Amino acid sequence: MNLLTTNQIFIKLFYYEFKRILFHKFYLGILLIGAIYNWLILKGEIILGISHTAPFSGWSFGVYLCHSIPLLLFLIYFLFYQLYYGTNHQVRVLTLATPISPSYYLLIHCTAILAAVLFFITLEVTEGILFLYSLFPLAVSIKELFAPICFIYLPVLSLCFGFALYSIQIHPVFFFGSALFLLLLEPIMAFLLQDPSHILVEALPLSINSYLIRYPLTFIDADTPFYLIKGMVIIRIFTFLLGSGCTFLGIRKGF
Amino acid sequence: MRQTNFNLFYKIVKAETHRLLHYPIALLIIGITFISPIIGLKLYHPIPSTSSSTYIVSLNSAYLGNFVLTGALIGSISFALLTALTLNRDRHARIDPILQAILPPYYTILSRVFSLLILALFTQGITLLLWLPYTIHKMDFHFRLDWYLQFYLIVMLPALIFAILFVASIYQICCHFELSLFSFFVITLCSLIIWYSKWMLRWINPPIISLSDDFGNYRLFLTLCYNRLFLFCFTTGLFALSFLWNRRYQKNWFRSIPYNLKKWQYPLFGVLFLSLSVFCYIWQPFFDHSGYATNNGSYSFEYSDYVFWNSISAEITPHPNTGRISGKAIYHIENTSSTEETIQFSIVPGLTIKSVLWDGNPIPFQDLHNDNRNRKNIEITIPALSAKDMTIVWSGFPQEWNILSATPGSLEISKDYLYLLGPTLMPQPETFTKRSSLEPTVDIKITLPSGITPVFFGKVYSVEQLEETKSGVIWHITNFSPNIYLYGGNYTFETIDLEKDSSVRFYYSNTQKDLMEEYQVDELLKQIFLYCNSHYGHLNFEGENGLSLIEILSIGGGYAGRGSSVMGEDSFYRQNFEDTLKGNGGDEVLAHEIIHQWWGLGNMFPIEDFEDLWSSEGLTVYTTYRLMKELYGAEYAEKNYIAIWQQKLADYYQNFYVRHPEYFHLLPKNYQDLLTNNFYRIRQYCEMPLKILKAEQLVGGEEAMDQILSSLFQRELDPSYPYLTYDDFLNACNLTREDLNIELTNNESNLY
Repeated sequence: MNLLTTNQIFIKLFYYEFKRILFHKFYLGILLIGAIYNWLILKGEIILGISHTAPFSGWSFGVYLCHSIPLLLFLIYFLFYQLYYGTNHQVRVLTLATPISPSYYLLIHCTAILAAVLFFITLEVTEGILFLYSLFPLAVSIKELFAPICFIYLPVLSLCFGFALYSIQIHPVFFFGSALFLLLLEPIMAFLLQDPSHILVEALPLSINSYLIRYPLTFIDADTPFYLIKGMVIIRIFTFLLGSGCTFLGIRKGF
Repeated sequence: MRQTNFNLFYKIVKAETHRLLHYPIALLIIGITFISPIIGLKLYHPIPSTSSSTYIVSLNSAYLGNFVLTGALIGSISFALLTALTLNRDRHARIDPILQAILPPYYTILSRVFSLLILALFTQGITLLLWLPYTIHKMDFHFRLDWYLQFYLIVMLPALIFAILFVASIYQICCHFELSLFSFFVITLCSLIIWYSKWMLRWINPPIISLSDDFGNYRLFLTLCYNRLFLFCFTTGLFALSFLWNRRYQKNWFRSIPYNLKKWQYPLFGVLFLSLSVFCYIWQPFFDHSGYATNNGSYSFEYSDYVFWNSISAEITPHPNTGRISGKAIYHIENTSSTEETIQFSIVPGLTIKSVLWDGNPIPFQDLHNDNRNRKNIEITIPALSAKDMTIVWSGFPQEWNILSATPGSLEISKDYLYLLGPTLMPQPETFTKRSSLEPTVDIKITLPSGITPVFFGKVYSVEQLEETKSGVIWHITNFSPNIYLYGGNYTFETIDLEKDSSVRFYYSNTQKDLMEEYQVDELLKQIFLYCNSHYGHLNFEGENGLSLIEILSIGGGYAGRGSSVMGEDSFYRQNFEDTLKGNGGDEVLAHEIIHQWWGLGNMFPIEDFEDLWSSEGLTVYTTYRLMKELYGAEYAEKNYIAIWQQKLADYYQNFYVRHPEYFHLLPKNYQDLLTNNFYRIRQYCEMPLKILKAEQLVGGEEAMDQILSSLFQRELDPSYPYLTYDDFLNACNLTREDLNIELTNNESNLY
C-alpha cells in the first residue's frame, strides 16, 4: 500500500471538499440567483453607463461588481457557517479521530471555500464581460476591467474571510454580528463622520460604489480610464491587510 | 374518512395557531408589524415628493399610502422570518422523522402555513383598528373609510400572504432555512430596485405614486387588485407545486418526487395557478403596447381628399363600478370618390368595436392593434359615391400608456372622477375631416354619475343637464369637434377678474374650497396673468367663457392649449402653500402651466420635431424663471432655475452616448428610445431656456427681450402656417443659431 504524501493528501481532500461545495444545492442556487441578479443589473443599470462613463469602462464595471458584494458576503458567511455548524460539525468526532490534524483540515476547508468563492467571482466577471462584449465587441478591454476587479474583490475577500473565520471561533453572535457590521459599514461610517463623501466612508466599506458613482462626475474628460485616488488605494490596501491579519489570526486560533 | 381528515387538519391548525400565539418571537413579529406603518410618517417615504425642495404629498399619500407601503415592507419581512422559523422548527430540533411518522405528510406544512395566514389576518385586523383613529384625526374631512380599508387590505395584507407562501414554497423545495430567507431577500430587492418599472412584479412595493385627496383612486385600486391577483396566482401555484419536493421517507428532493406524484392534485393545482398567473401577466388589461418610441414617425397619416364627415351623434355611458365605458355613435359620412375608400378611426387601446353598420347594414372593419402613443386605429372601407350614416358600437376598459406603468391610475372612470380624453370618450375620425360647417354638428349624450360635474378642456359649444335617471345624470353636449376632453368631478369654480373686461374661470375640487380661500390662490393666479399680460400682451380669449384653469387628478404635471390650462391636484396640496422656501413646487408648476397659455402647446408652435429642440417648453420655462425672479428675487431664480438648467445640460453633454453616438447605435432599440426621450426632455426644458437667456444678454437685457417676445406674441399670423418657429425667434433677435450655442464653462459643467 502506497502512502500518500502531504501534498497528495491536501490535493485529494481539497478536491473532495471543493466538489462537495460545488455541487451543494445552496451553492448551485446562489450561482443561479447570482447569474440572474447580475444579468438584471447589467441590463437595467450598467448598459446606460454609470456617471457619464462608458458601460464597458472600469467605473461602470466596478459598480456592477459592487452590486454583487452582499451576495458574496452571504455566500462566504454561509460556507463558514456550514463548516462550523453544518454537517461538518456533526462528524467532527470522526474527523478528529483521523490521522490528519484538525488545523490542517481547517486549512483545506478554507482553501476549498476560497476556490468556490473565486469560482463564483469568475462566473460573475465572465457574465459581465460577455454581456458587454455582445453589445460593444470592439470596445471591451479586459485590461481596463482588471483593475476594478482587483481593487474591489481583494479587500472584500480578505475582510469577509478574516472576519468570518475569526469571529466564528469566538461565538455565533460575533459571527452574525460581524456580517451585519460589514454589510452596514458604509451607513455606520457616514453616521459617525457625518459626511457621506468622506474618503473613509467611500473606501472602508466592502463596496466602493459611492466612489465609483461620485468620482467620475468630477472629471472634465469623462472617458478617463479607471483609477483609484491615492487615499483610496491606501485604505483598500489597509482593509486588505486587516482582513489578511484576521484570516491569519483565525487560522492560528484554529490551530 | 374525509371528515376525519378534515377534523384532524382543523385540530392541527388550531393547535398551531394557539402555539404561535404563545411563541414570543411570533408575538414580537405581530407587534413589529402593526407598529410598522408609523415608520412611514417620518423615516421612510415610499411615495415620492411632488416638490424638489421639501417632502410634499397629498394627505392620503402621507397618512395612508406611506403607511400601508411601509407596513407591507416591514410586515412581509417579519412574516417571512416567522414562516422560515416555524417551518424549520422540527428540522432544527431533529424531530421531523418522528413527526412524519405520526402525521400525514402534507399536514404539517399545510397546517403551519394556514396558521401563519390566520396570524397575518389577525395582525392585519389589529393594524387596521390601531391606525384608524390616528388616520381619521390627521386626514380630517379627507378621510374615507372605503379607501382606508381598500388600501390596507389590497396592499399590506397580500404582501404578508405572499411572503408566507413564497418562503413556505422555497422551504419545501430546498428544506433550508437560510436559503429560503435568502431567496426572499433576493425577490424583495428585485421588487424594490430591479422591477421598479414592472408594475406586475412589484409585490412588496406595489406601484403607488400618489393617492388623490380630491378626486378618485379607483383606477389605481383596480390596478393594484390586478397586481395582487397575479401575485396570488403565482405564489399559490408555486406553493402547491412545491409539494412535489416534500421530503418523503428521508429521501432527497429528487427521489421524493415519485411519492409526491401520487397526490397528483397538488402539482396539478400548482400548474393550474401558475398557468393562470402567466395568463394574467401576458394578457393584463391595464396598459397598452405602445412602447417607449414616442418619437417615431409611424403615427403620421394622410387625410383622404374624398371622404368627409358631416355630423356625429353619440350616446356614451361610463360605468363607474367597473371602470369601463361603452357607447354608440352615428357618423354621417360622405364619400365623394368613385371608388371605395378606406378610412380610419382612432380609439384608446382596450376599447373594442362591437359592430359597424353602414346605413343599417353590418360592414367589415379591422382593428389594426397598432398601439402607438396610447391610440390604435380601426380601419373601415366604405362604398363609392355615397353619403350614409355609419353606426359604431364600442365598449371596453380603456388602457393606459404602458410607458406610465410605474405610475398607474390616470384613466379614472369612477363615481368620484372621470378622465375622458378624445379617443377614450369615443372613436375619433382620423384620416378624414369634417366638411366645413359653421354649425356645431357633434351631439353627445353622456350619462355621468350623480354628483359629477363635467368640465372641458378648451371649450364646447354647449352643455346642459338633461335629466336624472337611476343610472346617473344625462348631460347633453354639442360641439364642433368630437375631440372633447372631459373631466368629471366634484367641481366648483371661481371667476377671477383681471384688468379690463377679461376674466379667468378657475375650476377646482369642492373639497379644496377652504384652502383656496385661505391661501388666496386667486391672487397668485392674478399675479401671473398680470405679469404675462403686461410683458407679452393679452391672450386672445376664445368665446364668452374666456380662459379656464382646471384642477385635475395628479398626473405628474399639466398641459395647456385651446384656452384651457390643467394642473394636477399636487399643485394645490396644503403643504405646497406652507412651504416657506417656495421651492420648485406646486405654485411654480401652476405658473408654468398658465404661462403655456401664452407659449401654448400646439396652437402656436409647429408640431414637435424630435430632432429640433424648439418647442413651447423653452419659452414657457424661461418666462416662469422671469416671473419667479420678479416675485422672489434674482438669487432665488439663479439657484432654482439657471443653476439647475446648467447642471442638467452639463449632464446631458457629458452623457457617454451623447459624446459617442457610434455606441448609441449599437444599443437595442428600446434603450435608444428611452435615452432619446430623456435627452429630448433635457434639451427642451434646459438647453432652450439657456439659449433664450443667452439671446437676452445678446439683445441687450430683459427689457429688450420682453419687447421681442411681446412682438412675437402679438405678431400677425399667417393663416397657412400660424406657428412660431425658431427662425422667427432668431430673426426677431437678429441672431443666428450659432450665436446661441451654449458652451458651459468648466465650473458649470463640473457642478458636483
